[in-house]
Amino acid sequence: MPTLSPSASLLPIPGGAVQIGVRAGAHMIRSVNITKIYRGNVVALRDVSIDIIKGEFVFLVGPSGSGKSTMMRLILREDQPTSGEIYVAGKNVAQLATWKVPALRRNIGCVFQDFKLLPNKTVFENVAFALEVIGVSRGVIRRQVPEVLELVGLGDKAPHLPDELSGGEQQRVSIARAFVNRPQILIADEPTGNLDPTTSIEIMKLLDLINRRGTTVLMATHDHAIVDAMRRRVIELDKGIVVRDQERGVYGYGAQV
Amino acid sequence: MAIKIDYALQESATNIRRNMFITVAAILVVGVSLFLGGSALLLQHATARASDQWTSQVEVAVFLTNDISPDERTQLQNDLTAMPEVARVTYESKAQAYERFKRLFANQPDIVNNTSPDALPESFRVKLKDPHNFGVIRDRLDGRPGVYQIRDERQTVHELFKATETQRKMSFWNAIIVFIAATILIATTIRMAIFSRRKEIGIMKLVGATNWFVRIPFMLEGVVQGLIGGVVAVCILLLPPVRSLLSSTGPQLAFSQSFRFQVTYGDIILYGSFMIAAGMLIGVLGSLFGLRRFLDV
Repeated sequence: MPTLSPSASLLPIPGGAVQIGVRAGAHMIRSVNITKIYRGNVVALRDVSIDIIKGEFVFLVGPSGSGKSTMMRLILREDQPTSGEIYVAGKNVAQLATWKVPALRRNIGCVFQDFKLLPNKTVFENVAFALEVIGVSRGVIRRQVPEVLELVGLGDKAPHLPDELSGGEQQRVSIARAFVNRPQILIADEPTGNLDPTTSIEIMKLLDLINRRGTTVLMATHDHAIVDAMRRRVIELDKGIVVRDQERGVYGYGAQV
Repeated sequence: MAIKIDYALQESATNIRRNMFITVAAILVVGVSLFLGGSALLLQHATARASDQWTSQVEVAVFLTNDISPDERTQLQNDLTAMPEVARVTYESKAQAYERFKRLFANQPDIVNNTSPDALPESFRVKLKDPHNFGVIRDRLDGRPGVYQIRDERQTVHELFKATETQRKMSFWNAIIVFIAATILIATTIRMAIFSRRKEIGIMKLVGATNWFVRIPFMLEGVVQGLIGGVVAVCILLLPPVRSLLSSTGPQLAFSQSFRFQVTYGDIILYGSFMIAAGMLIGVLGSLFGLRRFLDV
């Protein structure tokens, strides 16, 4: 059993039976010795243990093929680990029944490098889609979507189609979609990968804003400049192994103190 | 989680509109397959009914020789009437037989002109209480002077139905094959609809849509295709020329006009509702097959 981190032990434990829930209240994402081996003996992750506390902003860095994407897929339960346990928002994702996966994903917002917007839906509809799909009523959609569009600075773009927007604006739409139902966790896979540095900074400001509102953010990235500028926790993977886990870190080893 | 009906309906409508061409193809294949299958079943049904009716109506014919004397004839009639197995005996003279013959071959005057009224034998038409007792009657009358031939016309009917039976069985199996083909085609259209929307489905699943939420619009689409296909098939069957064509493929009795093989509108309505239900079943099955692979994420 892994030891409780200091921040978790500060929390009162109301009863023995719900210990895991309490621990998860502090640990938003916790992996315990997970190993993922793809077919053909390709080891994507080897014995990875990560603790991410509620409200943290964490960069996941490392070269291509280091296991960042696999980690993301496991958190979203798009895939299951070969061995080990992974808790997300209090649920043991590795053993989660298939029918419970939708409920898990409603707690996790996702942002991708390629935005994944629906080209034939307007900005408003794209964001509303995330709510429609989980059965939110029209009235709530009409209230929440403009609110979140305002938050990402696109209040006036609601009736536009995605291809009428710049890349940065499209990424804001996708962030709005990820955040519209106020998930506990936001996962961003190379969200600035397709954007120029200035736009990237705008996107990072937005993710920082969302993080300050209490959402735990896990962001996989290659972008040195951003990681160095943000000075947040950095977890580095290399060939499936955690080689660095550093508070207020920077991208490369060279800059390590 | 409650799935909103208006959402599902709207999604299916959009899908059908987007994939109009393939949707029309699927509807037509369902329509054709149900038309074929339905006609096979209709024929089966009408044939079974005709077989029952005709068998209960046809009689044993006792043909008489030309040299039978009036006494022998009266005696024979009395004996027949006295038999416990016999329900009714009617006499048909040469003239009456000729009348019937003329009526039957009205469209072939050559045959009528070349046949003299004298050439047709007079006969007793014997209706049995139980048609299975034909053997008893035959044994009793066989070889009796004045009796030329005893024929069970039920046998003729049976042979007639047997001749068309293979054909009916074949068309039934054809229909089954086309039914399967229609299911596969619906599966394909659904799969294409899914393929063109896999990005959307991926996002739906990512933001936490349940499988049923994703599935239901597609299933609805399949059901609508099957339903329309079924209605198309019934409409084709209801066209008068189609109905008479169908009726003409059934067994026909040459010797009597009262035995006209008919597929009635009642039959079509009865089997039509079944066909429409089958169409919807094809739609559900097809869409489930089409969806299977896409949802295990």
